[in-house]
This record gives sequence, structure tokens and C-alpha cells, in this order.
Amino acid sequence: MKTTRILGIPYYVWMAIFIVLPLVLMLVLSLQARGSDDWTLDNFKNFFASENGMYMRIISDSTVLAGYSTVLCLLIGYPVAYFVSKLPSRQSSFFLIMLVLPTWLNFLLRTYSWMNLLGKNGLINKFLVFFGLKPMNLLYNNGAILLGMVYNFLPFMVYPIYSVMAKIKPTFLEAARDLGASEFQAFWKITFPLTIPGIITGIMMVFMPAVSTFVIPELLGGGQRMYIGNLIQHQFLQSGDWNMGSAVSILMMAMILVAMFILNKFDATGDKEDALW
Amino acid sequence: MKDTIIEVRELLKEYGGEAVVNYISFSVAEGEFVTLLGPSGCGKTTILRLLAGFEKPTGGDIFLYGKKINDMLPFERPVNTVFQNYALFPHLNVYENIAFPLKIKKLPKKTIEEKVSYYLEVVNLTGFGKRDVESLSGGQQQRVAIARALANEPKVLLLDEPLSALDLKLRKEMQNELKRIQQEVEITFIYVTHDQEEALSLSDKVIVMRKGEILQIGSPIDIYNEPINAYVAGFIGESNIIDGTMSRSYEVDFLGKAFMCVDRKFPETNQVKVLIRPEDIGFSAIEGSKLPATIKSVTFKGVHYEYTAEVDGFIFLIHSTISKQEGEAVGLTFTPNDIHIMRAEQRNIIPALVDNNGHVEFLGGVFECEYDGEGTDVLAVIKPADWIIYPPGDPSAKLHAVIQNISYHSERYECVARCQDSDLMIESISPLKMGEVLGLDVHSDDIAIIRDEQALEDMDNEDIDEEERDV
Repeated sequence: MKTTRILGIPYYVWMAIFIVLPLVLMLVLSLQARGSDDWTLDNFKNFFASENGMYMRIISDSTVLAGYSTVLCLLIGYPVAYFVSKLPSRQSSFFLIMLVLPTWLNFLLRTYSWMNLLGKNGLINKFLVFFGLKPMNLLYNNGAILLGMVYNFLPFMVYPIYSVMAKIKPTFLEAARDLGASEFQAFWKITFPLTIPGIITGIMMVFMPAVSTFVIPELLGGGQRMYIGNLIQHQFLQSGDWNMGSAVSILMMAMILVAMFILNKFDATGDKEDALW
Repeated sequence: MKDTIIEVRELLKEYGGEAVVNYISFSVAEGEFVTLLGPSGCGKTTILRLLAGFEKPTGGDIFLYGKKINDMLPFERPVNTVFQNYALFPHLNVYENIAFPLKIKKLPKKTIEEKVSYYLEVVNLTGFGKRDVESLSGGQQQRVAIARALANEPKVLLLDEPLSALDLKLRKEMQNELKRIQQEVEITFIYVTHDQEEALSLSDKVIVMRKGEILQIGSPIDIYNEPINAYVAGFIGESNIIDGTMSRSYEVDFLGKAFMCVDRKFPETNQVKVLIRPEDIGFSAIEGSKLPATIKSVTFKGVHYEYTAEVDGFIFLIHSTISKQEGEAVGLTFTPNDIHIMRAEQRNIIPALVDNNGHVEFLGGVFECEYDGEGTDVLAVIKPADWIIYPPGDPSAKLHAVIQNISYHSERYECVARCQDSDLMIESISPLKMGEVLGLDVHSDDIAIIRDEQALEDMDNEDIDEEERDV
């Protein structure tokens, strides 16, 4: 028992310095006005009562964008997971590796490549011009942002769904078929409910990074619209208002916690051990 | 006689060219409790899956009420399966699991409630409806699986080793439960197990299988008392099997003595196997006993003692409640009724010449074979049923033999035919005529090449050992 505790010390130290301390600092900063040591809730008040609801709009834009990305990832990812789980094991591991292969390359590099593909003089437009078509505005719009999000986060949706799906015993489906269910009924009444824990984990794994990302909107969206991630980055790096930046960060974390809490309510019937928490 | 509900005719199932179920035929009467008994890998579960419709037969037919159902999908068949690992749906509770087939049928809610509570009562789980299936014990999960299958009201219930995951005490309890449930719902049960005791205590009819073939079909009492061969006898319970000869009916010679028995002589052979069950042997004074013996070992088994006793180099296994000492000289007794005569397995053992190129020559014919042992003088072993029979003069035939005598045994003809100077035993399902000339061939897989008679004995022992290990 004692040795196990000693083994945990590096992690405790790490956690204290890099997770707990920054969180406390952010909380303290968010509760102070810029350049003052007095406690105040002004940062939060300013956030909710910003002129023409700018901050609120940013929050809702971010949520909607992350929501779209998550739904798209789910619509694409679920059938992929289903298809891969039905393959013989050697083929399924091949498909899974193909799926994560791009993630071995740096996230920024991949996003820059999309800029090259979609840009005014990008590969796709060159192609169009070559065939005598008009070049299109592919970059710096919501479509490009969405594409970048789905492209980057899809594996995080497929993996958890696949791992739950692969664990469903084939005899469950045989039993369902034996008891009179059609193939669709067997899917809808057995496979689907049993994959809900995977879907929930997948949604969390996609929604969380999607709601806070700032690189993708910056690069593929051209920074025309501001999302939470950009806002925080802006507060810290451009405006130098660490107090406001901290307040927004704290609010975003609260938002994600609430979202997770709600999602977990849907998972009441699922297998608790497989869920993220 | 009750109506036949299921009839299986010449059923064949191959995986990658290998026959797992090899031309099997049997029938099941309405309301019967039939058990497919055999070691793992004998094809019994495959038969169940074929009956359920999860697998398609490679050949042969399955009839239900005289109607062919080969191509019917699982859910179209009035047949339900209780799976070995129960396959209860983990996201549904006990009630919802049992209601599953009823909801699929879209029955009114009230009917569903009535049926579920009825079947919960049948399996003794009243009040468990709201429970999470994963919180139940193995025996309770088993009951839910049975209730769920019964709720669909099938004509036939298939049970795939349903008790194998339970511990001994629960297994006994569930055996009684199964029998009671079957009598209560009056549905035909087809049950798969490798446990002979389960098979004997539950079934109306037992089908003993080995390597994709049926060895014997009969009531538990018939199978126990009159096993068709040493393999069935050995599988169905502990047994003493002794080589014997029978030159006339009602008398058999073994261990150098003649004994009265109740069986008739087999027409085609004097060679027999004699079966005496360990519990049928009693002790007496040496004078006046059937055989004098020496006790070699004693093991106390609770209800009885288990002895081994030697008679002229043969070791008898004996179960008795009488206490004896190791090394004691005893007399063994048994009645004519305790002596069961079995046909010794018939085989043609033919002297042959083998070369290294996969050819074997015997009786003037050259056959392909697989042999990687030493020497060229060998014996070719061929079962009577493995001959391929051609009409006389057919160019495919490699040997020709003239039929010397024929006997008919339910659905098959056995004959002895002369080829050169040897008598061959041949079995056929189509009729044969005396004096007819048969053209013969044999598939390379069906020729076993051995070095000498000793190797033949080793091969037999290995065969049984191997299958016991599987279990």
C-alpha cells in the first residue's frame, strides 16, 4: 500500500502544479478587476451584460457550431463504427488504423493542409479551373470550419462507439432474431440501446474540444467570427485582460460540466463501467 | 404413438469441406424430450443451429410437421433456442426480456403482462420482473432465458448445454426444474449436452453422437443397458468391456470361460465385446463364483467403494457397498442379465504395400493414401460402410468382389464379398444380391494405414482417450 502511494507522488506533484494551481489562479483572477486586488463579480457581470449581447452571441455561436460538428460526426461515425465492427478482426484493425493514421500528424499541420486544399489557388480550385470551371470560395466560411472540425474529431466519435459495439455478443442478435425480431428490429431494440454509452462518450469527446477550439475557426474560418476559444485567446494575448479571459474560461468549463451532467442522465440504463465517468 | 413433429433426413453440414454433421437422420415426436449427447465437437450444437435456422444445411432436409423448412428464417420457425450463455439482453430487466418476443408481435399490453407473469410463475421467478438481469444468479438467469423462449410459445424448444455454466448443486436443481417445466408446458424439448447423467435423467430419447455421426438412438434405459458398441458404453457410464466370442446364441466365452447370457448370436461374426457395468458385479465366496479375482485397489466413494480387481490380467472396475481389503482374493458374481453383448466394431484389415509417393496397393488395386511411417509392408484398415460401390464392370472400380452372403439390419445391408482370396465386409444402404459382382473403390481419407495389429489397438485407445479429453 505504501509503495503504491509513493509511486503516485510524481502525479500528485504534477497535478498540483499544472492543474490545480492554474485553476485556482484563474478563479482568483476571474474574481478580480483588471489591475486591482479587490474581490468583485464585475467580470461575470460584464460578460452577461455585454453591449448588444456580444459575449452571449459568441457562446451561442460556439455551442451551435460544436453541436453541428458533433451531430455530423455522429451521423458519419455511427455507420462507420457499425460497418467496422462487423468486419473480421484483421480487417477491422486495418480500418481502425486508417482512421487514426492522420492523427499521427500534428493537428496544426493537418489544418494548414486543408487551407492549401481549399484556398483560392488551392488544389481543388486549380482542378476546377483546369476543367474550365469557375473557382469557388471554399475557404473562410462556416462550411470550411465544419469540415475541419468533422475531419479532426471524427475518430473520437468512431472509437468509443466501435469499442462498445464490438463487445456486443453476436448471440444477442441471434436471440433477438430467434424471438421474432426482423433485422431492423434487432438493431433498433438491441444493438442501438447497447451502444448508447459509446455514443455518449463519443459526443463528449467531440463536443468538448469542438466548443473550445480556436485554431480551426482562426485558420479555416479566417477569424471572421469569434468563438469562445478565440475570445479567450484574444483576451489573454491581444487585450491582455487576463481577468476577463479567466472569467470566460471558468464559464466555458461550467458549460461543459453542465453538458456532461445532462448527457450522463441519458445514460441511466447503460453500462456504468464503460462510460467516461 | 404421438405425431412426429421434426424429421431430419440425411442432414449434412460442411465447413470448409469438412463434414461436421455427416448424413444424419432422426425424428422427434410431439412432446418428447430428446437429448443429443456427445463429446464437444461431435456436431450436436451444429444440429441445434441447423434446426433453429442459424445455419443452412449443406445437404439433406429438415421437416416440421412434414413440411420442409430448410429455407425458413429463424424467426419464421416455431422453434426457439435457449442459448448456452443465456444471451439475456443486458439493457432490459427481467420483465422486458421475457416480454421481448411479445412486444415484437405487438400483442396488447394486457396480454403481454398476463403472459409474462404466467411464464415467470412457470420458472418460479414470480416477483423478479423488475430485477436487472445482471444482478441475478446463474440459475436465475437460466430461468429467465427459458421463460423468454417459452413466452414466444414455440412448438419446439432447443436448449444448448443450458446447465453447463452452473455449479453441480444448481445443475441438479435445474435438471428437476427443466423436467417439471417441460411437463407443465407440454412442449417438445431438444436438448444438447455432453453430460451423460443429464441425458439419462432428463430424456425420453437419447441420441448418442460422435464425430458428426449418430451411434445410437434409444431410451435412456436401452442406451445404458444395451449400448451398441464399446464407445457408447464407455461414454454413457463406467463399464468393463471384455473381448469375447460367441459361437451360438445365449452363450458367450470370455476370460477362458463360458457364460450364459440373454443375447442372440450375431449372424455375421463370432467376435463380440462384452459389457458388464461396475455396479452389476457382486462378491461371493471363490468356490461357486463366476470368476476368481484379486482386489488391486480400494477407493471409498461415499455411497459405495470403488474396487479394481484382476482376473487373468484383465482389470475389472467394481462398485460395491461391501468392504474388502486390498490384496484379498474374492469371487465375482453376475447374472446372465448383467452381461450385455455388443457387436465388435467391424473393420476390414487388409495386408498392403505402401510406397513413399502416397500410393498403397492391396488386393491388386492401387489407391491414394497418406502415410508417413516406416516400412512398406503395412495393413490397410477400412470400415465396411466406407466402400464406394459401383455396378459390375464400371471402369471407376478398382477392385471386384463377389457377394457371398448378405444380412439386412434396419435400413442397411451388410455383406461379405470375396475379392481374390480375402473376404471383405461391405455395408450398403441400397439392396444387394447374392452372387452379384461389386465394383469397389475407397476414398483416400477412409483408408487408415497401420504397421501391425498392435498399432490398431493403440489407435483405438487413442481415439477414446482423445474424445474424453475434449469433454
